[in-house]
Amino acid sequence: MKFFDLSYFIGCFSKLMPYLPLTLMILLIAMAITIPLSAFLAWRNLQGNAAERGLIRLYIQVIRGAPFIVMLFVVYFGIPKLMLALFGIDINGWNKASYIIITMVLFQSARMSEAMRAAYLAVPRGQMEAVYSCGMTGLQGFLHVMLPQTVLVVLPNLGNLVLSSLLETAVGFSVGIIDFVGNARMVTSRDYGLHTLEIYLAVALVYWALAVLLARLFGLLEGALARRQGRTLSGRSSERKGRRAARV
Amino acid sequence: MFNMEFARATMGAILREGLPATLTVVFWTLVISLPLGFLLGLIRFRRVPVLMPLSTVVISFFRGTPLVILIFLLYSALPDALARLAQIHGWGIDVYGLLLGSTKGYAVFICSTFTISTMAEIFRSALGAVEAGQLEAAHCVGLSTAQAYWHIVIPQALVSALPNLGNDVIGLVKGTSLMFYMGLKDIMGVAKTEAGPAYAYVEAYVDVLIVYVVLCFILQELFRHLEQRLRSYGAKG
Repeated sequence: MKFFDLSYFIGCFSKLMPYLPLTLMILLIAMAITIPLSAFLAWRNLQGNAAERGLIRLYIQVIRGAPFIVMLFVVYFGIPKLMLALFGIDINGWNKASYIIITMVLFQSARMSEAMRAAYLAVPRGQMEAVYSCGMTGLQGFLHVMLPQTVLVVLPNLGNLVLSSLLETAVGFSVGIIDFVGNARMVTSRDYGLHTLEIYLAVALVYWALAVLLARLFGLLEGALARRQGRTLSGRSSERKGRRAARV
Repeated sequence: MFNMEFARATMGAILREGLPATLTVVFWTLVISLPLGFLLGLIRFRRVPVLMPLSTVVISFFRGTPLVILIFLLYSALPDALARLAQIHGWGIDVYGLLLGSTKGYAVFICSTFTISTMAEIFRSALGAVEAGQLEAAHCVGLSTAQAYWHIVIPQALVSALPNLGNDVIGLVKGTSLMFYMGLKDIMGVAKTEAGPAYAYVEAYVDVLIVYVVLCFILQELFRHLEQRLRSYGAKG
C-alpha cells in the first residue's frame, strides 16, 4: 500500500493508450463537420435575409448558455425518441460516438461561426472595393483577397475552440462511449479502485500534453500563414493582445 | 412523447433545490477566486521570480485538463490517496470526513482551482492593457508604486477585465453542471435524481437546458450593463 504507485503509473499508459485513437477520431470527425458548417452559418449570418439572420442569432444565443454535458444528454436521450416519433426510424443501434459528435457540432458551430464572422468583419471593407475596381468578380475577391486574411485573423480563436473541443471529448463516457476516459474508468474499477490516483493522473497528463501540442500546432500554422501573406505577427502585437491567442 | 406534467414538476424541483445549490457554489467560488486570481495575475504580470514559472505550469495544467478529469482526480483519487498516506503514517485523521464532509464546500474547492487559473490570465492581460505611462505619471507626482497600483492601475485594469470576467463567470456556471459527478445536488444533480425513477430523461434534461440558457442570458446582460456603465473608466487601447 503506497500513496503513489510509480510502477503502476508507468504501466497503466499501455492500458490507456489503445483507446486514445477513438477519442481523437471523435474530435477529428466533429471538427471536419463543424468547420464548413460554421463557415456556412457565418456566411448566412452576414449576407442572409432577416429571417436567416434572426434564426442563426437565436441559435447562437441558446447554444452559448447551454453546458456541453446537458446538450449531450438531451441529444443522447432526445434524438432517438424524436427520430422514432417523426420518421419511425429506430436508431438505438447507432454507434454511441455519433451522439457526442452531433453534440459537438451543435455546440461548437455556434461559437465558431461567430469567430469567423468577427474575423471577416475585421478585414477592412476597402479591400473588397479595391477588388471590384480591379475588375475582379466578388467570388474572386473573396477567394483571393478576403478569405486568406480572414483565416489568419480567425486562427487563434479557431485554435482555442478546437482545444476546448478536445477537452469536451472527456465527457463521452457519460453516454457509455468506451473511449479514452471510458476505458480509463473501466480499468479503474477492474483494479478495485485501488489506483484511481495513478490512472486519472495519467489521463490528465495525456490530455494536457495533447492540449499543449494542439496549441503549439496552431501557433506554427498561424506563423506559417502570416509569413506566406508577408506579414509579421509581432507587428500586429496590439491586435493580438485583444484576442486570446491559442495557448494553454 | 414529451411528458409535460413531469417536465413542469421537475422544473419546480430544479428551481427550489437545484438552482440555489448551483448559485451557492458559484458565489463562494467567486469569493475565493476573484482575489486569489487577481493576486496570481499580479504575480505573473510583475514576473515575480520562482512564482512566475511555477504558476505557468500550474495554470497550463488546469487549463489543459478536462474539468471532469479534474473532478475525478480531486474528488475520488486525492482523498483515497491521502487516506492511505494517513494510514501509513498512523496520523489518525479522518481524511474523508475532513475533505468530503461538505459536498458543497468541496465543489467550491474544485471549482476554485480552475477558476483561479483562468482568472489569473484575465487579470494579467488586463494589467497589461493599462498603459505603462500611467504608472510613470503616478511616480512623477510622488505616488509610491503600491499607491499607484491601488489608485490608478488596478481600477482601470478591473474595468478592462470585465468582458473576459463575464465570460469566465458564465463558463463557471456552465462548468458546475459537471459537479453532479461528485454528488452535488445542483441543477443537474436534482434533474438526474428526478429523471431516473420516472425514466423521463428527455424532459428532465430539457428543463436543465432551459434553466442554464436563461441563467446565462441573465448573467450576460448583467455584465453587458455593467460594462456600459463603467466603460469611461477603463484603460484605453
